[in-house]
Amino acid sequence: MTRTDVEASSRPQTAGTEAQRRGSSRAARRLVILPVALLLLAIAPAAPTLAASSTSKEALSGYGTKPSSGTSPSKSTKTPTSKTPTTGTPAKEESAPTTSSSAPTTTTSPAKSNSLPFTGFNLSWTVGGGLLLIAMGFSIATVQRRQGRHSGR
Amino acid sequence: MSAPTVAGLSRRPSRAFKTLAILLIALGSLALADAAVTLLWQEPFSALYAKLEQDHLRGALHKLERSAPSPAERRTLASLPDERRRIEFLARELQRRSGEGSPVGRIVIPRIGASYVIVHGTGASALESGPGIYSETGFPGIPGTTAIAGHRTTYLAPFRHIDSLHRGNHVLLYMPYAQFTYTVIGQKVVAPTDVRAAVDDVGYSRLVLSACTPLFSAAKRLLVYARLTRTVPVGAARRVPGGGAVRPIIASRAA
Repeated sequence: MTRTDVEASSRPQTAGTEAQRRGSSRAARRLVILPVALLLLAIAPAAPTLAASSTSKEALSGYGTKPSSGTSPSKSTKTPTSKTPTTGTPAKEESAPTTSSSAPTTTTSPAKSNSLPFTGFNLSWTVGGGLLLIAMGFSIATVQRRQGRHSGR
Repeated sequence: MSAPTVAGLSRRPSRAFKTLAILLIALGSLALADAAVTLLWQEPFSALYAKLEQDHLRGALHKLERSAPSPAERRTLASLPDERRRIEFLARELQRRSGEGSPVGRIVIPRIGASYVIVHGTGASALESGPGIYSETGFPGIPGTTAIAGHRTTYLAPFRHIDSLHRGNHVLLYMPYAQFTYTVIGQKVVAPTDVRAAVDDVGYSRLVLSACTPLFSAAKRLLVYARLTRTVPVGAARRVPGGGAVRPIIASRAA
């Protein structure tokens, strides 16, 4: 190992080879930067949706949880608060909302969670991750090829 | 002697790096292919998982539908002559008995060709199996709001096309105690924090379907509102003294 080191250091270095080496190291640096840049590009557009999903996931963590008593929370609270007759029929109801734009306004049941369940998917993460992996793979392959060409000389 | 050893050592890491590069490129290509399939159809890996889960739930639901009420339930049912009250009692019993993620019924939306076993609860693992009934709302048959959440892109994407539901379309819920027909009355896009828009009681029995919107994002929530229009008691909820045909309970006409 020391022999090759000595050989390499004792070899007369011309201006051309030094420039070539500097160029290849610059290229290698650029190749390392490429995945980082791609990662930033992937994250930037996804930031708002990520925030949304993360908050909803946080809220979701306690969404399906039940009280330690083991009973369903909606049963005890629903009956006294419900405005419909206990027979379970809405047949006598007259005030159905007729337009899709206006949401029904009557409120009786208290909301226990502060967010609706997360049922989406951030496609930008998959695309960003895939591009990043491909870029990293190509970076490694290119650097290896350059190094191999260099050591071959 | 040392020269060939050095060459061999330097060749080994280069081969390892080459393998790593190929592996990374292959994984990246797989991720991009997954994204493309998701864009055109749905996320395939989670779909496979949900398909297996649905098959398992279907078997469990079949067992639940065939199970007879307990002696205590039978005693209470005997004192309830009204079918609506019997349905409500059985709905409350099922809600009390069923745990998070257990199958409780089936949702069928003919307009979008959806037919899935629904589960109790909207926790992350519950929704991976199928659409889930919010714990904050009652089961169908209990007066008030019933809200169901479902995935739009992953896990078989049961609610992928709920944005195409319009006024007059039907949503059917097949529970072990009754069959419910809901008629769509509208839809609304709300913030993820607007829970009240989904779970509040409005003075009549309604169904609220919820899913993330727009597609491939979780920025907002799409709520589809439907009103109960028809109930047909089945199983223990039926009270047919003379053995005649089951009469459907007409809740109300579609608005």
